[in-house]
Amino acid sequence: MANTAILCVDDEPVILDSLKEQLRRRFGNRYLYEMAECADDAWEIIEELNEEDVEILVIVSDWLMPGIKGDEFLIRVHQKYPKIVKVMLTGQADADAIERATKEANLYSCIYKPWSEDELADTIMAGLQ
Amino acid sequence: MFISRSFPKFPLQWAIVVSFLLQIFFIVGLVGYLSFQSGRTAVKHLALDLIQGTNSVITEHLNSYLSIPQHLGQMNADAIRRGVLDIRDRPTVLKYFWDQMQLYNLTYVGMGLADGGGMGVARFDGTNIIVEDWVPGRKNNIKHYAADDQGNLTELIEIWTFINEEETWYTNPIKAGKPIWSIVTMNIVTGPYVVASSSRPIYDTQGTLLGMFAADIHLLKLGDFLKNLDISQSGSTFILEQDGTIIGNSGKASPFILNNKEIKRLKASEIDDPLIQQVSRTVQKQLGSFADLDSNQNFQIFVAGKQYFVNIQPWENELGLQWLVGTVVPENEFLTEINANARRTVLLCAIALAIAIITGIFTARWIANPILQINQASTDMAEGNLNQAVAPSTILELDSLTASFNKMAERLQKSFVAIAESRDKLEERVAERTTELETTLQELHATQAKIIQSEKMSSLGQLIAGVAHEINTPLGAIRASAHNTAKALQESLGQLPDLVERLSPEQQQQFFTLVEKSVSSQAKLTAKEQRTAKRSLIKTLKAANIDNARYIADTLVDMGIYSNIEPQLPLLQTPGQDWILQLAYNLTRLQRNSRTILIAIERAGKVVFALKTYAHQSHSQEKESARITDGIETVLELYYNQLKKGVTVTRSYQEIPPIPCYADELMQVWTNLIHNALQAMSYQGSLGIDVFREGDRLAVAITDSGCGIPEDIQARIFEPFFTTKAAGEGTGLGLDIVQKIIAKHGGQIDLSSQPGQTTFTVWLPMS
Repeated sequence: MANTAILCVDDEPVILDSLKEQLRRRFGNRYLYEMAECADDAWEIIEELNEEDVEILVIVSDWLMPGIKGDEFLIRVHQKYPKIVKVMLTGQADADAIERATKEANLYSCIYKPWSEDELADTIMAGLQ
Repeated sequence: MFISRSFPKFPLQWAIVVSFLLQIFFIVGLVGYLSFQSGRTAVKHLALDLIQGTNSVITEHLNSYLSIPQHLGQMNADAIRRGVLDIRDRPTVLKYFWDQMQLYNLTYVGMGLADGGGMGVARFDGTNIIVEDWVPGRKNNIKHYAADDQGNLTELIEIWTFINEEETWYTNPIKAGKPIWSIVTMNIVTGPYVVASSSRPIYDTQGTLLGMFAADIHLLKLGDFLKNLDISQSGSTFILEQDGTIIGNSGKASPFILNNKEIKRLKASEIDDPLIQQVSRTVQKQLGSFADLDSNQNFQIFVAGKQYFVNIQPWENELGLQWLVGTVVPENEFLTEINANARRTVLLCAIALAIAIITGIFTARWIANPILQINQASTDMAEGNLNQAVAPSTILELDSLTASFNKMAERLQKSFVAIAESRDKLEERVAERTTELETTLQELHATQAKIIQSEKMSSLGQLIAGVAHEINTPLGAIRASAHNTAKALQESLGQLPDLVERLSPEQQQQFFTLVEKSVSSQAKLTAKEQRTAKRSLIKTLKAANIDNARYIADTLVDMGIYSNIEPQLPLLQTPGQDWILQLAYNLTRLQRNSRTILIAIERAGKVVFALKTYAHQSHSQEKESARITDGIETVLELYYNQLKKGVTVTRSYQEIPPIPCYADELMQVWTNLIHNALQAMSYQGSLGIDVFREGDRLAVAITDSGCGIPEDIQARIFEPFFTTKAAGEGTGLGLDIVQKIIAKHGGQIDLSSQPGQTTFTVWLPMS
């Protein structure tokens, strides 16, 4: 039974759907995969997993989302869970935002859409090393 | 102050001059009147004294004149009685009488003798002396002779009849036995003979009557005597008998008239002299008759509008003559002097008045001039000529006034100069600022087009993030899905033979039902709903004693199976079922990935189309016919990503034909308004877009459920550079440009806002 998780945040269901399939195929049931369509959902999941003693290892977040932006979300997560590896997966991101996230959220990497499964998997693996 | 309005206005000079004149007129008039009155009274007294004196002079003259015949009678009687003159020596007596006639201006000197004869010298015509000599007889007994200048008889003129005893002048004194006066009236050849006759009986030493001496004075001669007294030019003197019969007068009128050879003596009331007639009437009125007048009388009469002073004195002599002597003098005779006096007074008054007027005017000017100058200066100042100075006055109060005025004028002028200077400076500064502003305005105009363009690019820039995302997101999904499909196909191809070999027909049936259920699942749950569903599935699976429930539930959810899995429980309970579920997962993922790819392609296609439409640059300055809703839809498409989560878009479009417009510019309007709406409600809530027609106008109402625009900034939101966003997030030009674009279309934009409902309504003309 896996007690570690990878959390993906993106406002596009098709992206989350694709991401989850990719992660399942690559990592099987080694991790739990949780999908959130916005930051609020993400926080809810983080709380739930925390209660269930499931450790979140990686958060993959989109940047351009309704409401709170990716960099801001990751910075807040970092303030509470500095250990989590933060990866940004986005179609477009402001250079300033990435720089800020790097500095303040210890952003591990930023992957641009369209991405490849290997690129994603390698980044996560490398982040977890 | 306010009363003065109802009075006529007059100059100050008049006030002073008129008051001067009124006083002077009053005083001069009073003095003149009083002096005239006292003059008149004095003159009246003077006139009465004078006229009385005149009358006295007349009576004295009368005394001496009438004493001549009496004295002659006395002398001649004495001479005869003493034998000096012999009455029988007729030539000597006649010469003697002739000499006396030469000596005195008498009408007749002669004597009638007791025997009926007589001799005498006469001046019947008043001038030429003739000698008459008569003898006793009854017919043609008297002869008239002319004489030379020595009294010698020269020729016989005529012969007529004269009888002594028939003549009153001869009989009356004899009867009286003493000398008397009588009035003798005879009509003779030379004319009416009307005389005052003084006759005296002549006696010899024995007392025997010798004859009667007579000396006559013709009444006309008495008149001449009065004339020659020259009392008054326009007055009159007269002598009356006590019954009012006229003896003589100084006027031209005769005291008697000849009527049918009868001599008629006139009364005072009958004579052709208005003055004497008036005197007679007055006496009759006041005294009754002349006979009652026994003392000196003074009175006044009016004739032809003129006043006359009248004095009448009774006069008598020792021989019994009792006459009345009257003098009439016109008042103006005396008034000449007083009138001259009055004229002098009037002249003096006039001169005094003239001097007073001139003095008054000068004084008035002297006093009023400084005031008038101040008045003029004030008027000039009021008209803007501030350079005023009034000359000082010698009058203390006025001098102080002019000094104060000059001070005030000077200070005013200084203030005005200062004001003018500061105004000039101000104008200069205004001009400078105007120039600066004009330059700035020109620069602004020059950059406005650039700004509009850059705002458009800025809106685009805001979209670019979205657009890149919008494009890359479906691309990412497509790429991942394609890859996943490949893997799923590869895996499932390896597992499909096992399906036939390892599962019973019953299990196969359950498997396909599971796959069928997944493929036909139309439910689109959100991630959150999926997690709820997943928890429910985990419970169900755990209740069915299925290991690894969490993973299985997760897989089922990914397959689109959220509930009603009881029919599939036996299949899932099958030992080593992992591959069965994995195969079902792979098979369904084929279908789901294909669907994802289709959705993503459609999304990408729409975005590309919208972007192409948005970026379409119509450089033409002419309107093109476009459907308003097309532009709105394009913008909504571009914002799809921001809208799809949490924003409910409600469209209410009336069917409206295309209208002529600047389509690309209107797109900027919709972009701005929708963008603002989304930001206002933080991408959560409802966005209403109503397009409808009202008359010849088209309206686009964009309503958001955001927090609303505070009333105090509603009026400012259309101002350029006004923004509520953090620095760097917006230019603040959005709504300004929106307004300009709408104005360019001849439309307008309204705003109504309250918390929870903010509507921007754009009105555009249909044609």
